[in-house]
Amino acid sequence: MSVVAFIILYGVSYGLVLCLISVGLVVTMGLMRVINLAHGAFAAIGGYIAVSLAGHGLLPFAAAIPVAVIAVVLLSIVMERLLFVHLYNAPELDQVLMTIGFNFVVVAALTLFFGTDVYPVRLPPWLAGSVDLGFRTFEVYRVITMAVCLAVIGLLWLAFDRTNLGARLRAAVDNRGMAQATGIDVPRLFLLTFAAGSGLAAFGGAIGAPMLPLEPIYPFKYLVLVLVVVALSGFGNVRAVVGVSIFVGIVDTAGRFFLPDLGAFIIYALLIVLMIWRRQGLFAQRTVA
Amino acid sequence: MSVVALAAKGLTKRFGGLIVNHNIDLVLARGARRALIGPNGAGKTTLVGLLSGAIRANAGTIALFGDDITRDNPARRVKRGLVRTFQVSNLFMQLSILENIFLAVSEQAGVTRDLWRPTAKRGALIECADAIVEGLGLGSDRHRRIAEIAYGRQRLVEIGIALALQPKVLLLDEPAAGIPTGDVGILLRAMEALPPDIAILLIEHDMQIVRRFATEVTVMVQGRVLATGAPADIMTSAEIRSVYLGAAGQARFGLTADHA
Amino acid sequence: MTLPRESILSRHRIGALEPVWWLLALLVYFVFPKHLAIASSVLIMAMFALSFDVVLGYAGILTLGNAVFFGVGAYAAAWISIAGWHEAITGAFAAAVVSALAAGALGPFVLRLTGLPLIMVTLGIGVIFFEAANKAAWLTGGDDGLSNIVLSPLLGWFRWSLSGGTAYLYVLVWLGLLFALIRRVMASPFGVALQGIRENADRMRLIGAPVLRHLVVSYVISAFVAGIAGALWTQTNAFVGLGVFSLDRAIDGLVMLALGGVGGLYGGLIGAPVYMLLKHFSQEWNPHYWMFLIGGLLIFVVRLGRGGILGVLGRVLSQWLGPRPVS
Repeated sequence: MSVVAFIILYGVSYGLVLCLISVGLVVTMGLMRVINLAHGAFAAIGGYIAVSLAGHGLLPFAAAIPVAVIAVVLLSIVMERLLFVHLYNAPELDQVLMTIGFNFVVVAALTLFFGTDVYPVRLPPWLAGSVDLGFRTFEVYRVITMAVCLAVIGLLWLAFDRTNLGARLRAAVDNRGMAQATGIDVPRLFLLTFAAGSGLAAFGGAIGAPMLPLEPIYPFKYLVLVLVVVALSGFGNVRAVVGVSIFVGIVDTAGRFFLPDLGAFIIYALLIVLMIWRRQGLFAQRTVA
Repeated sequence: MSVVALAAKGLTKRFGGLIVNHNIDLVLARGARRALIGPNGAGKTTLVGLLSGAIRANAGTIALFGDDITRDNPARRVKRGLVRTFQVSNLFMQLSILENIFLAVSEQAGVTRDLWRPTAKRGALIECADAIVEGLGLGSDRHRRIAEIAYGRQRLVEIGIALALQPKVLLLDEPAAGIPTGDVGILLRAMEALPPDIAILLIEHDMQIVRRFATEVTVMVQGRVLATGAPADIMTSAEIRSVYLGAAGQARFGLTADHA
Repeated sequence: MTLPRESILSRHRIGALEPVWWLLALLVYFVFPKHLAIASSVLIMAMFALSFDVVLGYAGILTLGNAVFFGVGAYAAAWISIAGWHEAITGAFAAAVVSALAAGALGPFVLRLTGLPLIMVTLGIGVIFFEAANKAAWLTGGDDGLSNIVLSPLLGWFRWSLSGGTAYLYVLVWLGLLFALIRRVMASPFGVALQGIRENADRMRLIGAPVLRHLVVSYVISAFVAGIAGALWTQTNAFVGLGVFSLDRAIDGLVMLALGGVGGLYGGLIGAPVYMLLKHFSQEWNPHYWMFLIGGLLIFVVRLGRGGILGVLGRVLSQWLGPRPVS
């Protein structure tokens, strides 16, 4: 029983962090229809900034995270205008190449500034330690992370579903041409969405640093996992992302626990089967042409 | 005694609660020149989709020269001789006119199993493709990319591809859509030059083309076939005109209707 | 009728400058006798990039998975040698057949996908093979790899010299043969149909083309070439390790091809030397700057637009040699 609880709790907390990192990509890929393999880079940068600010004592961890997010948002705005804007109508190969190139540059920069080893995270005392949940003790950090992630995701959900901006976003994802014809400023929407998505990724990378260790190859290392979540959710299907991320988180954790020899295997094999079987994602929406 | 080329019986298509095609019967004899007309929303494009295999019918059967093709996918139907052209151009934009037509010719001739002989040595096939290009009056542009030629000429390439597939039944979906009125003549000549034993179903709104080209007209309204007959009869029928123009429209436009 | 030079129907034509590349490659044997080991690996990488060109440049399949076939060929060649068959040419051929069979098995499923799902599945397959090779250490030697690979003298006559001279010519001949073969196939009606699929797969279906079948054939051909590259890798290094399955290698191949220019068949052959030389020199300078360089180069190549080095050369040359026939 406690093993199951362990896997679920670990899987869910892992999955929620993945969710934060991936949701931005789900929206941008649904909206811009660009194969963006560089999304993880923003998560990595966010993580590094937050952890190094906190690690050098410049800011408490809780404050370092928003600072990192803001920094990444600004960076992503610049990058969008400079680079990514050219990919919107480009052939897929170009999209793949440019985003891989961007990843390389980020990896090189991270190596230059932070070295090749895993960057150690020192949690502040109020986050370290465990709490007794009755049937099992559990790390405080994970509990808080889950709560924070759920809160952020909840806010996102509200924004997406209930606000005007969210409505415009959903319209543009569903049918870009039509949305533009009704006066929605699509390029500006792209920029805002890209920035928001990158900011969320940075948040996930920062708060998830103890779970997803920071090393320079982070953008490549978690690329496949993030893409798994995106592909299984279906482009633009924000509602599915939470469920899929938790699913992926639990499967990955369970796989590593029960079959440590096979580990990552499971998730990839599962992904392949699912993709071939349901290529629109697990929860396909009817899309307009 | 004419041979039945295409026989559709009881074709029905529902989208949710909306019945878009209701119990449609359509029979085309070999060499038919049938126009399918009707107001927008009548279900004509859906019917063409059902016939070509792009959409699966909820009920009904389709037979091609007696063989049941109801379950066949579009590629299979093409191989059997049922070809369709598209209202919106779906061509190989970065390839030349000749290359576009050649792709169809070579597929039809079954030579794509050949991994060895250089294509350029297949003079007969290239000539065949070129003949089609010439026949449509596109010779001067034969090596130009589709993306670079006028839209009206692109529509002709659509017909060229259809011809290259040696169809026995041809579904022409609004071939004149988007062509400037001045160029319609070229299209008409191309259509009139189509081999006489092909059965052709033409969807069109331009009554000029219908009058010149069709020997029979089928009228569809709200998912059903309303009537089939000779163009003159159909177009002067009061019932048909009221369907298209309404009573007030009739009064305004008098006896002839050039555009539906 | 004379077909324009760029027409997809006249891909069999040999360009005037082509022999230059092969001449240069031959000259390397005489001019750089001390560097033939690295030269061989450049040629092998060029072959690997060529395999990418078949699927990407001609069929339009965007896959990150050709490293799988490289790796399968590499390990198969090792097993063949360890099992006692020391003849190099047939050994390489047999290894490539194994790769081709793998592609034949995977293709019908994987090639139903396009775009991101295809990239993901091919990435996933790559990772699975890597992990499998890692875990099956009894078969692959795991981290240590396999190293007692012995080859008998080529054609019974040419000994494998330490300087790598025999190896270099051996690889060059394989490259030449495969290149000629691929060129022939891409110029055939099948090759034309492939390019049609790349341009508009849907319409090809509606023309009655067996699209999936054509794609699988191109995938198998590509895997065969990648398999030979892998086998030659093992044979010339007398060693094979897990690195043959790594994502790096797949990306390397793609990058080399993009650098040189996709679709021209020579793209990989030009991109590989450029890439490897850049890598070699920048790593001597500072190992970390390599990633800056390659990332920047990729971004630059994409921003520059169509064609990579070949594309740029083509534009420059047409200024020099005069306009090409109307296309």
